[in-house]
Amino acid sequence: MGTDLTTWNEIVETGGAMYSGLGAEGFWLFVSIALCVVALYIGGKHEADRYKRVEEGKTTTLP
Amino acid sequence: MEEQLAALAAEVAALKSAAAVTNTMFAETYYYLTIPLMILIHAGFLGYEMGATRMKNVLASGIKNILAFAFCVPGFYWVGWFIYWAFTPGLPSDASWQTAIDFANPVGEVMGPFIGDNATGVFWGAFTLFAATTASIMSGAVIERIRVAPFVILAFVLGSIAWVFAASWGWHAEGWLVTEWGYHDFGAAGVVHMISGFFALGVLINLGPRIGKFNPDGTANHLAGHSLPLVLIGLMLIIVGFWGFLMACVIVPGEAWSWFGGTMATIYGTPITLSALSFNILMGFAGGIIGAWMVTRDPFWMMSGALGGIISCASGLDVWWPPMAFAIAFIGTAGIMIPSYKFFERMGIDDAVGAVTIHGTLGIWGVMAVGIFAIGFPALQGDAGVVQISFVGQLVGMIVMFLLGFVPGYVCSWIMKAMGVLRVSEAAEIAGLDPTKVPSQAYPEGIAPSAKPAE
Repeated sequence: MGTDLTTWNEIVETGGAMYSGLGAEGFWLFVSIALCVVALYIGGKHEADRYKRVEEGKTTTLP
Repeated sequence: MEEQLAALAAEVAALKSAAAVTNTMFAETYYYLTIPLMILIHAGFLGYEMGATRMKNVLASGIKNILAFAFCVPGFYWVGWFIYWAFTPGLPSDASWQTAIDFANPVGEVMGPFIGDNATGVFWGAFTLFAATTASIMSGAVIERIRVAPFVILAFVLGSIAWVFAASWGWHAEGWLVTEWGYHDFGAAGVVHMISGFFALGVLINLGPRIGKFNPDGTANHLAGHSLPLVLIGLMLIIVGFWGFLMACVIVPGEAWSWFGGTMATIYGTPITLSALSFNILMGFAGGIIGAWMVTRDPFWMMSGALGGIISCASGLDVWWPPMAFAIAFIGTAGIMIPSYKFFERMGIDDAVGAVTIHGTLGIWGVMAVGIFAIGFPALQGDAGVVQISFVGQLVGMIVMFLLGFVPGYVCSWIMKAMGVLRVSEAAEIAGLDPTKVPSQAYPEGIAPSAKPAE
């Protein structure tokens, strides 16, 4: 990770990409998708557990 | 003499270069500023949706609304922006696919910080906010009984896929609805509002009404939200955000990707000015409120009418004579809005905020109004003979928009219903979603009733 850039001069003068992750864009795209899927799964599981608790007569989530 | 001419030429070149830089910075800043303005739409939908919710579900509605926005952002980055560019011919051609690779490749340098490209990021940002708006529209309709995770998936389908096809086909100068049928939808009455409204209808059919909404004889009860003032302020914020939304529908001049050197253009390359928008947005806004007030006297419908008024004249905001925009908005909210809402209610649809009517039905009116009152305008930039706006073209576009919204909404929610994951449990719905799953309270100290005046 990081960059091979040693000066901004070339980027400023001729233009170009200036981000960390250059060359590994697909990997980070996959990571962002995976994180959303994991968050959705955990969120959905939390929700299902809470509905189950309500059916068992435990209705509050507050401490 | 020659030296003086050379100096003058150098000075002119320097001035031209400086002017070009200024124009580029202006263009980038113009679209950049549409983004926070459009975030006001989401602030508005958040307030609107929470205000329309009963006390026991307020925060759950807020969570759902916020997540719709949040998930639409990466979703539109992953696939939405690419679809917009790739599918303009209907199915991708070699040329449109290459265009998508050039402008919207989610694993390409174009979709990241890149000196020398001052346009892609701000265009993507503006379109992302359009995408999130579609999901927020659907969000309000399904409050108080939909599960969050399936809702997020529906929001992704709507905001990152369904509406993007509509935009690619009917909101792009190379879209087949535009090039073949002359479909005209400047302010997105079809490609955003119809899609969202009828996607919501498809979901509502499978989701079913809230407990207590309908009596055994089929008559409907009014399940009042806990804060009408919050609803009204939310709706006004949406109106503010619409200025950013419609501002972002304009192509500024003077850049390599612009249509003209000195004239603003619509997304179709037809000329427009911000003055035209100012005339017609305000007249539509006013016509919508006054029409709704005449038939309802209800502040909820008056502010919904403001939104409905703008949607009614959205497709032709670039070509209406302002009093005509007023009349079209007035007709929409005084003549169509309430009958439509009651029609869906009689059909057993529990649309908590009237989204199907405001965005779906009035979206139809907005699209078809152009096919009635703006026939013959050239639908694209170009020489005489270019495809024109027509009633049939708008009708075809309207049907496509209905199907692109309704079918995916219905099919996806039907699958979720069949899997038993679409709706919260009956016990949780009765107990309230906030005490069931939200680890905080909306009003921990309660809301005190008004004090009696001192005698």
